[in-house]
Amino acid sequence: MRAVRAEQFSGYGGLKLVDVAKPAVTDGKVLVRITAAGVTPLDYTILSGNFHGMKAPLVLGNEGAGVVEEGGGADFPAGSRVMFFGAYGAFEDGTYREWVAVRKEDLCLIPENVNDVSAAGIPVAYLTAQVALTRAGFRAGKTVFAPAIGGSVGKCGDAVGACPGRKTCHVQHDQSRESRAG
Amino acid sequence: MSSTTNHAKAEQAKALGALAFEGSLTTLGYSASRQTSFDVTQLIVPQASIRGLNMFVQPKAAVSEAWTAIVSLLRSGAIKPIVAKSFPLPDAAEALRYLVEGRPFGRVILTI
Repeated sequence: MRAVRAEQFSGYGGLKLVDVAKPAVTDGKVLVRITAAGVTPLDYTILSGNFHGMKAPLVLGNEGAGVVEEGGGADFPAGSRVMFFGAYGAFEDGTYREWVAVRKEDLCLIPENVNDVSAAGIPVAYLTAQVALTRAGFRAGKTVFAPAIGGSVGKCGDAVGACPGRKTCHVQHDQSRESRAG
Repeated sequence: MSSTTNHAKAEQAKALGALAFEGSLTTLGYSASRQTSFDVTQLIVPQASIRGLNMFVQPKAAVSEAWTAIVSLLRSGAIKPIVAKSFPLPDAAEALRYLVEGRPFGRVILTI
């Protein structure tokens, strides 16, 4: 199967399109045919050699969306559309490839009103924003300041925070992006 | 007030200045810089705190709860993901370059 792998952590030139073996479904993992992968700043950090502890060659991609092919049981039957994030693309091969064996606990069913391309970019940004707000004790009546509104987590901090009784404000240095943020 | 931030040096200092009494700043990214400096009185006077967030070490229950909240908001249409641009898998290097240098508004996605 096709994969884009960092052969070396040497910047953009280290990325190569390669042919690798399709993963086997073992240890209770779920085989997912990837339809879309999110590209995150973490991928660039690793590719640039600035994240210690990673080993090349490594297929990048920390999040993705796809269709369950086998191993999902009753929770994720074959054909289910799923999105996920986890150790992929950091501590093991990631989502820049056609199939990934995913731990069941990392999977989430994609709501019907969200397409695969949008779903692939949801996990890292929205989970990070939601967990950060929860850990900070954010609740109705509190105010959150989410800078870098155009970035994934900033945008989601703003969106997730925009629930009844919560207040958000945001800044963006780039005027063109700020105007688009409304 | 709570704050979440990707560090830009000046931006973090401004975020600290906005903290409420006993507010907290969560730092979780470093796409702009890993280095910063700030005036400690911005923490001392409001008894504020700075804490880090590492998504790789979150308890399963915390992630599961977060998924439940996010799916609910997606289903109701309260939140809508924004995709800036998608690229085919072989153009992954170009996609990454666009993310880092193009400063897009929204997510960058590879279609596979």
